[in-house]
Amino acid sequence: MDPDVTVLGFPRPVTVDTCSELKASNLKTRVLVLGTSDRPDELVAAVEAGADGYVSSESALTDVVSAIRRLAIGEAWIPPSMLGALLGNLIRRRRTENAAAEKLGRLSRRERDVLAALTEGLEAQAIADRLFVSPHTVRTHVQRVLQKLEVHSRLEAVALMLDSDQFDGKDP
Amino acid sequence: MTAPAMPETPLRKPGVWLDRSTGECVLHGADGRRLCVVNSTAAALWELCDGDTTADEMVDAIHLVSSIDVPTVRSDVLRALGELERAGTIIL
Repeated sequence: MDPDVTVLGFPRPVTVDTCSELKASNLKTRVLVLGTSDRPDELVAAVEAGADGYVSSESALTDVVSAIRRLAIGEAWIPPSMLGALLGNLIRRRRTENAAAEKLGRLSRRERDVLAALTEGLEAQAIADRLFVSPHTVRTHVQRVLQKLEVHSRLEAVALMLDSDQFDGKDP
Repeated sequence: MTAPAMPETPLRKPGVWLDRSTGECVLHGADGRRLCVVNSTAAALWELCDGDTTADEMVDAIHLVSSIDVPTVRSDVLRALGELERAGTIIL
């Protein structure tokens, strides 16, 4: 089955994951997300997951039908009053990703390995065992990572890694 | 032939405001005078003219949302910003 338009309802993460899977599949269906409100964060999540359109569940039925028709003829549909907020949000997110990527680019290969292990929640001894180095060496790497990323804690470093588009969540 | 240069960081003119209450997107001057009616994309662009956001960032974001190719979006953004400037709503 490959419908012209698929309508998905929030809440997350089911909708976002399903949307991503649909867009990654060979199906040509276009995806309209039915959000719970006029909140930009839901809209941004939907668009980043590849949604072709978004309407709030508070919208009139005629608006939903209109959106489905627009998608069916290949157009995108975002509520006009939310477009500015959406674009602003995407731009801010892109800046955050770029800043994170720039900082991560300062790390050596070994430091990136250590940061990836921190992202998995590993402690110094476990990282040392994985990388065949001493825990002291791991702590030295962690200090350098924090300095280069201009953060004050491992938690901040992990958050920065997750903010970037360089984290794929897979095991190394 | 080189593409026209993109403006750096367009800025909304002080006092200009956007009215959506009638269903249209109408930009008014500080004196309440109606300056122009724009479509929703141009209204969104006007909202992004904060003196910090670059025109290239606007192009990237619209490309992401619309899936329209970058050269087309770039051309459309350039034209829309030019029209917003001529209407006296932004400073390039």
